[in-house]
Amino acid sequence: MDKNDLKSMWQDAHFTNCENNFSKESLEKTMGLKHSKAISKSLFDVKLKALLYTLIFLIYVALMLYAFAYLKLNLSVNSLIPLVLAGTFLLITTTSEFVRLLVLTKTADNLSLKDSLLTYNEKLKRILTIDFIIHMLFFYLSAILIIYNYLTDIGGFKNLSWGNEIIPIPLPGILVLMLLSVPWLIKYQNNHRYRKMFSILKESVHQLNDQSETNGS
Amino acid sequence: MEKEFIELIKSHQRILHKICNIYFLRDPYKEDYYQEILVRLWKSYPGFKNQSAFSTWLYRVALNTSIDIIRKQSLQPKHVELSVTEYNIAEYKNNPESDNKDKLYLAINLLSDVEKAIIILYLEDFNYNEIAEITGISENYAGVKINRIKTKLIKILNHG
Repeated sequence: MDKNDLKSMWQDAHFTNCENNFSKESLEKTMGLKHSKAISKSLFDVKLKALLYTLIFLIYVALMLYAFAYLKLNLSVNSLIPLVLAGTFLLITTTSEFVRLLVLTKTADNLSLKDSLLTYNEKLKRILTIDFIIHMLFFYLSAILIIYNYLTDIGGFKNLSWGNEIIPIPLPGILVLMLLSVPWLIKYQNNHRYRKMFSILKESVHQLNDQSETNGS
Repeated sequence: MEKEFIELIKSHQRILHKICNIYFLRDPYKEDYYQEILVRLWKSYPGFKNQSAFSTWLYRVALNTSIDIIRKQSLQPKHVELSVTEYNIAEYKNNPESDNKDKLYLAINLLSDVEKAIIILYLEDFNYNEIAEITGISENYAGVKINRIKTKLIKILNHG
């Protein structure tokens, strides 16, 4: 077969139109949709998850406020740690679902293929950077708060330990280290989760780059 | 605007079928993605400023949407992704009943998303300038790329 046969093969293949035609009604109906059925369904699932996690997180925050601000509950720092960890977990799962939703809803259709790929790549990077900054602010501020409480010895922070027999470091030190590492762990997790998407984008952009041609040949 | 869009889509609907066949040939959600392309075309329509032909704009949006859908499938594990190994060209090649259309579509399915976009524009008789406009590459590079993809396609068609 010759290279020039491809075009004639394509034209012959599409000489007859065997596909169904649109009716005006079905077109109007489709135009009224936000997304197609399957895509709406998957977006709905992500939205539902995000909403559910937000709701649980808000209930958690409300309960904490009720317990500590209204009832003036005075718990030991040892008892507070599991509550803080639970809150941290809820915050991470909630933001992670929102990030997924943002990634799934961003588009750049009106540009050329290359610009669309580059724009989407930038959007994806921006979403992940903002997510990282939010987590960093939250967890680093929490770490600063723990250090401050330790230094001023609020709530018996200085005496807090896991029994010096197990770990000979004060527990607040471990907590601070954990909090400082959380944003980086989330960044690692996001890079892993969106790895395939980044690799598809990179490969597609590479194929559209004139540079790749000169390098490749 | 709605009426105008409907008329334009009706007269260019074969393009959408071809794009869907190229990107989602054996995908169980093919009809759905076809609908999604239509939805996204309608959403993008206010951005169409008659600076290019309607078909050029339609290809640009439809190809971007198709590539975007495939990209996002990587985040949706429940979607069934058919491996390219399932497209057995050799089997089709030896089957006298399978026609050229099947063979060509199956061969194109083995190309990357970007290569699929470029080859469909070439097969649809777009000139290098238009292909460059839709894809965002230079005219010269479009020529080089088309030549390489054609060679690849011929190789697939001849050898399975």
